[in-house]
Amino acid sequence: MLRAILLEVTAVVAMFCVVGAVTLVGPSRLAALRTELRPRLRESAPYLAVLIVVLILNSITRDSAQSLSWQIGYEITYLLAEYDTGVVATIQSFESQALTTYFSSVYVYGYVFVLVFPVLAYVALSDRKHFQRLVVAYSINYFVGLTLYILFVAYGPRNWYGIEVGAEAAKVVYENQLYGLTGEDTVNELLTSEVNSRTNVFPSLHTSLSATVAIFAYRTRETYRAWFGIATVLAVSIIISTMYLGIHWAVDILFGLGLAGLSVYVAERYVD
Amino acid sequence: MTHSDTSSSLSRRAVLAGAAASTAATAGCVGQLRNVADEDERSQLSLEIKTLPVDSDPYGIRIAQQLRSNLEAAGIDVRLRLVSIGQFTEQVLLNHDFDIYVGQAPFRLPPDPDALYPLFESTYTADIGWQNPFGFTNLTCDDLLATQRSQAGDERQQTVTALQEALARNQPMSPLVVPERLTGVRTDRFTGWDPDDRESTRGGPTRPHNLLLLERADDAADDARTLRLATANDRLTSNRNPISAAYRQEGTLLDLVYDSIALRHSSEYVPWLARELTWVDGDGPPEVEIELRDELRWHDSEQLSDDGQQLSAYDVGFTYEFLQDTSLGAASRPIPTERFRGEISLVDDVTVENASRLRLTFTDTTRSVARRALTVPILPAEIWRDRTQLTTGSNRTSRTTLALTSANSEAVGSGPLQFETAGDSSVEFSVFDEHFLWPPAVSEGAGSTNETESENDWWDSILDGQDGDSDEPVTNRTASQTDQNEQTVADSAQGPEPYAGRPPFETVTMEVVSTTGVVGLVEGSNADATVGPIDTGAVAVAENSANMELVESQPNAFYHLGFNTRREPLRNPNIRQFVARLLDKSALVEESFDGYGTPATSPLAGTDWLADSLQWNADTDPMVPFLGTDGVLSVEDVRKQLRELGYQYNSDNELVS
Repeated sequence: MLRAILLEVTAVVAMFCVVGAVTLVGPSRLAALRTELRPRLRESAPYLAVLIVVLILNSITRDSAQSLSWQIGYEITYLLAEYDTGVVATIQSFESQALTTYFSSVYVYGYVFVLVFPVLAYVALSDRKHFQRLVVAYSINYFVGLTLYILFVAYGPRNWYGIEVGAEAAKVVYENQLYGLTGEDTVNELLTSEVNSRTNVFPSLHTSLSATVAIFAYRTRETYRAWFGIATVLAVSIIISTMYLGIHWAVDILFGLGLAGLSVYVAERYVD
Repeated sequence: MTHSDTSSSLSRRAVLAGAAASTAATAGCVGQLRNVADEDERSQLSLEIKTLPVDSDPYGIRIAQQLRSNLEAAGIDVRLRLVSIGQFTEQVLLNHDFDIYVGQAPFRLPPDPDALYPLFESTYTADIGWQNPFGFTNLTCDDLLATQRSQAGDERQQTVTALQEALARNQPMSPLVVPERLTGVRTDRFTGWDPDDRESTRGGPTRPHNLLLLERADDAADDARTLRLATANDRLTSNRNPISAAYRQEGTLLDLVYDSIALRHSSEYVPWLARELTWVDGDGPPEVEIELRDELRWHDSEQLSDDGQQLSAYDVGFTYEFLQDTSLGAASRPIPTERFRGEISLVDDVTVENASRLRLTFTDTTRSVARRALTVPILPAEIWRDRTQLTTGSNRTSRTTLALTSANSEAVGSGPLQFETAGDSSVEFSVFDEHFLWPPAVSEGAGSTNETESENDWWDSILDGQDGDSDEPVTNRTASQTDQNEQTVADSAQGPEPYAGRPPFETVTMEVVSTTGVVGLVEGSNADATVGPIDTGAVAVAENSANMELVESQPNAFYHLGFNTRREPLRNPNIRQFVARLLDKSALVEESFDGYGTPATSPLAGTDWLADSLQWNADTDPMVPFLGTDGVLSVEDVRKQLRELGYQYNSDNELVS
């Protein structure tokens, strides 16, 4: 079941990447890649190795990290709820079927595209530093994110709100998600609940990674003008979607943005 | 809400503490800072509420949120903590680390008032699992619990009534709502979900044994040989130990992996592994002769030697000994099973006569109580006798055995379903070819001609264990027919009706998602039915769906507040009563359960044993009436009540003791 969903996501994102490659990266840079790809990857191999190690670490420790987190972690759902001060509920009060469809698509497909496409776009640049910085920033995001997931156990708004005064809005969206839980939306619900552990809420890696990509898009706006626009719109949409869908609290977003800033700062400092 | 000033200043410090700790990246640091933060709060009364997240239980959090806001209105500092299903077991049932939890009872409708015995008997307070998690010690209740075991008829009814009243006054737990069970099903592959079609079976469409009664849909595709279930409970993926506290509730598919001597079917007990059960006449405590069916086999497993393939009376005898002490004498004090303690405590002695016969002698009780002990899962001795080793840890504070900490991954039983594989979020079972319900030699078609008649005969012959006069005050529909049948015999050639015969599937898969996800899987044709709680939003989905039907069925395990009576201030029954009075159960039913439930004040609500004095009347709780009206708390009454209990308010309107 999950495999089929992942396949579908892969197919959709691959299609967007091809379109993006042709229109945004351009044929000449793509053509150059034919000879340049290998040497460029070789040059950036140490950075890639770190990212791969972090990702492997993530996948193999996921289960044990989860139980470790319950043992030593700090349970902060109630704090996140308190400091959210109704932001999530306010965002959810704008609920509509169209927005639900938009945000859940962006949350799944848009997010994966935003992560994958810049890898392609930056490896196509002759200036290797953009690619390397991106890889370093990804590594930092994942590493810090996963460490925080172990240190803090928290559930998102979806799991916190019962029917309560002030949470009426959350309930509306929740039920509307249910209405929509057919076809595509079931896919999204499954994906978000199974790929991401429910207690991995603080901080929002959706936020930190898409903000990271948006910051790099700003840095390379001279080269990829349109991408800067697209990345910004997608990043903002993804960030809002995490709250709209009741997955993250406003505090998770703030810390996600902080993590993005930190990762770009470190990446730019160490790669030049 | 003036108290929020202090609690938010605490929270701010805690956030900073957390942030500091995250850079320091040491857990010890977090603990220290947390203590510092707590010190400042010492004066205000503080309570913690634990419950499951919406993904696992849509209702618990709604009750908990309501309770939280009402406790806060009373000036009490509240921490609401969401815990996973595994953590709930660990924190609440294994370590008793809680003030108040919101959750469901470990059983659906209690089959017999004796189900209350392990829950409230004071000798069980040191135990773990669903054995008196409240730490409740009350000699009056102990006496009543013991007395009802050996009584029958009106006498027992009176004792059980007195017991319910004592429990209601003392409130070790506060029953809130008996919810209706909603099950999402689709009928394009399998039919026969609706229990109305076969009223005698109790429980919802996905009660494990009811799955055996499914029929193949007429227009089902030929390859539709897999029954696909969806659940929000992830326990089976990681732990398949039927005697460990990891299993909070009855009704998991493990019930189909392990067989028992008898199976509860409606208010009766059907001989299951037993071919014949004979109650021995005499004045002493009840005694039953068990004659096992022929050719009972364990599931195929490398853990079993060639000699151990057969399920014999030795396995049965072993199981009853083992459940009483899983160390089999190696520990200084018995280390019993974490489930079925009430049932097991009824068994006094086990005598294995030969490979297919044994005799159980019970404690001083009646047959109708004693027969409950026949429902425990029978374990293969060859596998479990190697698990007597003592161990510590595995999240249990006291010493325990491998038998209880083992995840029992391979789950070798003798039941209709054989465990195959489990992944992160799915479990797969196959139908066990050699199960007694579908003996290979039976010729089909025989017996279908006089079905109704033979069914009646069969009903006459089912094990009822009644003592002359009936113990069950109202629901003794079949009792009158069976009173004269002291000796009960089931036809050995056939399996017990209505379960005999091969089910219409070869494989059963269970996908683990959330309480909303399960609905999506059924609606989207990726599952045939939901198991366990689903969100009430499913009602709307079902209305708009051509594919999914919703089946409402018998009451589900009741929601309640569990109080840790070992701790202040909940040690005080007046405080427990006070907390119970902060919830408007009628309003909860309407708002949180969308009308799918009934308010309750006794753990026996919904049964014929419910005390008259605890009947719910006209929106008012007979024992712990809500301090307010229509779900709205009267803060004035609350404060008055607390002052009468000896509490005071400080200048910030915080409650201090």
